[in-house]
Amino acid sequence: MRAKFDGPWTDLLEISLKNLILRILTLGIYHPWARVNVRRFMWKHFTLGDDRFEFTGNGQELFIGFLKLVGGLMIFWSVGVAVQFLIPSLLPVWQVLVGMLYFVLIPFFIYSARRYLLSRTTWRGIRFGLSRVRTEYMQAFIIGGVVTILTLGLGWPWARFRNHKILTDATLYGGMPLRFDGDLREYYIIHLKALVLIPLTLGIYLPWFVAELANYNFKHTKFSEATLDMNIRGLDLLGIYLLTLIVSIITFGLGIPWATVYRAQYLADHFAVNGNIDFDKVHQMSLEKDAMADSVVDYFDLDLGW
Amino acid sequence: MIAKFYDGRSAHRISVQVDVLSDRIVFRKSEDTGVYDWFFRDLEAEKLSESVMTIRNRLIPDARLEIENAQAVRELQKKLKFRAAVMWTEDSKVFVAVLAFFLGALGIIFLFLDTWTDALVTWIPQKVEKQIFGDYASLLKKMQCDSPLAEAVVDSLAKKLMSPEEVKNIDIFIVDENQVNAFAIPGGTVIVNVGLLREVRHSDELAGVLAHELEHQAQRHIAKNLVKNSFVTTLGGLLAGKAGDLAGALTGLKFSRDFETQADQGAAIRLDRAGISRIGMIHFLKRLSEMTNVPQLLSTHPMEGREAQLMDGYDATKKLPASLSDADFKILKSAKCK
Repeated sequence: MRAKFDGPWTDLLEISLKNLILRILTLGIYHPWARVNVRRFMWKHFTLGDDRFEFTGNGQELFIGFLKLVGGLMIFWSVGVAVQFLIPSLLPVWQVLVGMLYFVLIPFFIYSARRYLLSRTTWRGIRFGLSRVRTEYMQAFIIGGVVTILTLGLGWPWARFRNHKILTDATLYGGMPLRFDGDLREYYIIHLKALVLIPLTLGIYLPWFVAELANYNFKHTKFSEATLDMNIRGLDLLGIYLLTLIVSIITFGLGIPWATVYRAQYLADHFAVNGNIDFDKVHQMSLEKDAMADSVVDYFDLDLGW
Repeated sequence: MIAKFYDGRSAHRISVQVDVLSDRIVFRKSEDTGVYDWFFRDLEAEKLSESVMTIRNRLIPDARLEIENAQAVRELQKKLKFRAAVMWTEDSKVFVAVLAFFLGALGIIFLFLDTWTDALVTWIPQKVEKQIFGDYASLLKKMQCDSPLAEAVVDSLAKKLMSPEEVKNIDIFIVDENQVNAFAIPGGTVIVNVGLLREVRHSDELAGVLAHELEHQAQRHIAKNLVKNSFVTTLGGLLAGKAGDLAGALTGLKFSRDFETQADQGAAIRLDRAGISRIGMIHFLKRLSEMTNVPQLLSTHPMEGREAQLMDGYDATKKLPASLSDADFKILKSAKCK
């Protein structure tokens, strides 16, 4: 099954302009709806084997998630101000506590946001999902972070391998899990090469690393009797980054929708699923309710890793 | 016409023969299943291109029908409701309620922001302020102008304007900085730039500036501004990104103006109490407002209305002695930082 992206960039431009105007008119409150508009466009124009994906989330649930986030942050802010003015000697303790909490909450929200996003993504009318491995993922993320620091970066590939495997193995389509069968030694080779070549080439190697890792991750992901496949090239990615940058500058941002569509077409053209999927075993799944994590990930610009 | 049907229960794609009637779409999954009647009133469509349209039925939310036929798309376009992802189309009642609550809460926060921050700052002991900003004062102390005579003169002038309690708690020093400026640091420090001493043409002008800064100190304006600005910036940033910055800047300006007005009013009272003319302060402020490189003193506060406010109820014909002797004023004017 080959993938294809058939969205016209002019439609995305129209959506982007409408989003921009409504964001300004509503002083930014429109932001969640704007994100939904873009996601709906991107998802519905992505097809795999002639069947479209669909984003079924709505702006209202993201907005409510955003209000929860604002409430939570205002509580933090108030406590911070109270500590600063009333017990300033405790300020360093508070700052350390907030730092630690932030470290713990990052994996929590990455997991939750991914769970939300998957539950709002359908293909052939069937939802994706993420099984309940939140604690396992948080532990792996935190331990991985600590090990990476203690080993001065040498534990980084191991940590990424574990995080990726946990999330991939927990990803469900219609109740059936994906499986990641990558090899830690190969993961190490890819990452160590990047650790040496990225500084040596002043960062130019980064697109090659991204491409190699994405290809590796997809080629080692199985679903049913099929294997996912991606064949992107570092040089192409570099070209796309540069093209996006140049187009954004010379069109004052108006060309970004064109660049986004171009990139989506490139990625879709280099993605496929090889082998059989036993659709008899795929059945509809229940819906995730909370959309707060998606707002948190957006607000703090956290990396979803995909 | 042939269309793709996904029933929302399994992942199978079923090819179906679709007929469009006057009020519904009719199709059959296979020969041995019943006929599906999808009435237009229950349907919502999304056009993907001139020849592709997906249709969903609110009674079977997970099911989809995908039509790939330009003529059928044109025909159905006239009959079906279209899906739009704008905020007011999803669930307008809930949205309006949430938005109204949200804006109402914001309105209440901003309406009582002054009261809340004033109460909060009054609650914070001044020694805590000193603890927090002590480092900043020590840093400026390193820039202190080593001119004991000038410092003694400024100190004696400031004492005329202070209450006995303030004399014990407020520290004033001159720093080696050429910009025409003076400012208050939370916790009881007033800084006078040597540039200000060079600019003043009469001791009453300096007295006016000192009275103004002492009033900022007494009314704890800096701490109030910090709390308010930090709140507005946090909330604004959360809500609207760049729009939040704008809101922060606008409200920050408002705070400054209010505080400057209060400081002017308090300064006038201090000057009267010390038997110093207000005219010097007015002259100095006017001159500063005409300068291009306007320092912190006036940058957020235009002169309009300020003179009238300072002259309100003041007898300008009253002759008052200069706040410093000629000899002391000369010491100030010739102050040199070693």
